[in-house]
Amino acid sequence: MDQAELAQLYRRHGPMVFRRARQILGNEADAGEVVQDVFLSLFEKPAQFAGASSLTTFLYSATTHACLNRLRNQRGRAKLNRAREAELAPGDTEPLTQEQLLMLQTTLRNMPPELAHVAVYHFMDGLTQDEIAEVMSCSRRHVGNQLARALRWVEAREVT
Amino acid sequence: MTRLSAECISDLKLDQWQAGELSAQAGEELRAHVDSCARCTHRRQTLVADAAQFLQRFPEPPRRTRAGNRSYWVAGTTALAAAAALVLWLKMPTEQPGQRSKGEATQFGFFIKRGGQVTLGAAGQRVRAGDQLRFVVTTSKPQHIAIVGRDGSGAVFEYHAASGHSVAVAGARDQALESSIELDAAPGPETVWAIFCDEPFELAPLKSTLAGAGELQAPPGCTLKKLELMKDAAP
Repeated sequence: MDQAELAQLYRRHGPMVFRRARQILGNEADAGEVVQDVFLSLFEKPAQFAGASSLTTFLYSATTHACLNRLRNQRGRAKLNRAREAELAPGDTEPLTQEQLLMLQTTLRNMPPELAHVAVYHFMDGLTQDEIAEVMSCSRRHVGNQLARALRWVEAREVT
Repeated sequence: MTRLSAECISDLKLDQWQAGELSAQAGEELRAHVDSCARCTHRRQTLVADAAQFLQRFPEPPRRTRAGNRSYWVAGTTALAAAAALVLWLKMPTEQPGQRSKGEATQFGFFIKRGGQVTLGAAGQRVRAGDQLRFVVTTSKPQHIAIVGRDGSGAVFEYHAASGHSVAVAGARDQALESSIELDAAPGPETVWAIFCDEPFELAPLKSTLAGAGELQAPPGCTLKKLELMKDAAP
């Protein structure tokens, strides 16, 4: 991949990575660092993209992974008492309040990674189970099972 | 936040469409829905506008190079900023005592980021290992620039360049460059030069001169600006 191709790839997909990272992390500074991490990693190790169904789905996955890592590394920053299923319920079209976002982030940083990925796609991106299966390169049934586990996990735990 | 009702198009599909990754049929189906759905039309317009804004702020991809043992990053995004300190990092005040004078056609200054704090730098500034420096230039016309440095050991570094070549800048005041440098651990004097030329130029001859003589002269038709700093070890 030469410099021109890298620049084209960045211009085509960089805004998407930034937008999703900002959405998950709630601020542009961290989102910017995620963009840097994701694209430097891709530029330096392009082979990791091999096998993904599309570059967009690959970057969705890479962005989610980078954001969740960042949230976990920030463990303890947010002190919130509880995260309830209600805060995770999809369906409304209004942006999350800052409090809701913090609750969701607290939940995600404590949740087992495999469940946190599914939760981000479903509750933050609003993807259907078919679309999540496409991004995660797995079956729709697996997505459904993971979502059910994620909800049970939230119900069973008190997040501090 | 993108929470969608079942009949609407997800951001994932809009992103794939925008990237040209959908089949012709899927693209047509998506277009038909978007054209008939005010919400999806609005969402698509929002994404397009958001993308344009992002690329205007951060037009260049992140790039990592090595300059000795320094970490040097270039990022439209690492420029990648906004929010708190990073907003300040990008929207820094731009008058530098001692280095700038109002009305001067070519100016060169810098800001220092230490921890979460961003402060204005000045000629003779004491800096510290680990500080990040971000350079700001003013030119009255479109020009080509490069920034190089030499530390106390005589090592020469490219601080702002494109793989050994100058970088084009617009004719404008107080342009914060998209790159910053992080100072390494070696204490001592540090000198930084900004070269402004009307035509593109290569850095190799300049670096060679700098490595040998420890000083630079402005190439014909170019303007040279110089800053001398003193770097302390990290506390």
